[in-house]
Amino acid sequence: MKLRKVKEIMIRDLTAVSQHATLREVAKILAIRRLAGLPVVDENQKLIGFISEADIIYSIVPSHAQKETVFLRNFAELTRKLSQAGERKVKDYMTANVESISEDDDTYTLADLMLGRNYKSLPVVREGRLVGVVSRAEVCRALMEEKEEGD
Amino acid sequence: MIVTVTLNPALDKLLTTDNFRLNQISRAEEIILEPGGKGINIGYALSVLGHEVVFMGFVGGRVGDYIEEKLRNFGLTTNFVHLENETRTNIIIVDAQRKTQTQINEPGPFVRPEEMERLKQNFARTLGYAKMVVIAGSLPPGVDPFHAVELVKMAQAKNVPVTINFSEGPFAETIKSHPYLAKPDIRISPTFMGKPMKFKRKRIEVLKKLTEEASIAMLNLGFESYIASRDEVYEVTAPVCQVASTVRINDALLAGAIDALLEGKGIAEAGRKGMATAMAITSSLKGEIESAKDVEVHLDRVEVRKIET
Repeated sequence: MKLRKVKEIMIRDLTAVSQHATLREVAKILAIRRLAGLPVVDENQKLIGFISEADIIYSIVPSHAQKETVFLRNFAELTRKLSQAGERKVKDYMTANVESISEDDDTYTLADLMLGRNYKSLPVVREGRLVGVVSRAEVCRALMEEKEEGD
Repeated sequence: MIVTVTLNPALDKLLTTDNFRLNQISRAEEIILEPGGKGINIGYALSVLGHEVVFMGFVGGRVGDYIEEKLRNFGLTTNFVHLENETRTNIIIVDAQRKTQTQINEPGPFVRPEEMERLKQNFARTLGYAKMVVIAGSLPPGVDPFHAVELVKMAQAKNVPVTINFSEGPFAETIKSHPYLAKPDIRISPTFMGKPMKFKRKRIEVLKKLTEEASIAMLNLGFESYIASRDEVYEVTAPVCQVASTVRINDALLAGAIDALLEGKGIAEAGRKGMATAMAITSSLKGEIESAKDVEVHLDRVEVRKIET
């Protein structure tokens, strides 16, 4: 049985942000696209990180937020914090050295990586450059189809 | 990789009906929904001809999602900026009985300055891998010709050749930046650069003028096509052929020519490939072609004639 390659099942979309983009910009793209996160790329489209909804929420409500509860009760203060957070840069909140998969890897390697590390989606690269994304839905469908062909 | 930029894509809604008349209710027989807009059409044809194409530009709302999904289902790569406003729908009414084709184009959604800025950033990142940039189609509200000029200059700064395909306003602005290939859209206006396009002599004059700015210029009125460099002008015509819809003829002509030029062919062969692509595309109501073979079968039937000027 010949397994399909990632490039045959991936979603060929290059939506990504620069590390210099603001969190406000990311939040806007995530909302419009109904996505949970975005790849971060450099000026040559090379993958350098990933920024998720969780990263953005953390920028406003960090784990030590309890210390600041007093301030947060003040609505004006919260508004100020929110507007400041919006201006913060992706590079300070993204996950750097993010995991990715090559477009020439097979779907089994992909499934193994996703389940093993509990990834819901992964950026796909060609020589380090972002060429698409792949989520569990595509892996699921691909594996089902592999089985049917093998029957 | 080729980058196409469609600043104002559309969902083309094509309806076929017999005996279409104004002030009367008509019933549609066939309804075809296809992603449209010049850059998308050109990119689609280029991808069938075997090129890796990245589709850029603006999409928005449900219509935008639909366009993006359709392109991805073809296995094409998208890199659109998503707008807050919805992408337009163009209506095309094809009457096979009366042999008429009526089209109404919406102006398109308003594009905010920050959305244009995001497009420029995305565009800059793809230039390192691009062997050609195609910027084509109308400009949506909020986008000015100088934005198109900026995109042309960004590509040129990275030594990426640029093809432009606009109607007269933005065309006149962008051609000043000396693109590699320039083809004006003369479908709507009977005159171009103040010259009536119904006279062949005037068309050749216009073409010669365009090659003072662009390395190569193209022009067409339906299946009557011209391609010129600074030294040569060719007239390219098709034999009588089966036509289902002429919606994408202009874009197919350009795509075929770009394909040949990227392969290092001369302008006569580029004109030929363009026409063969147009013949293949117009034979399908959807404007689709299966493979490059569907284009190749037409190559020998195209007439290419050198014009002495």
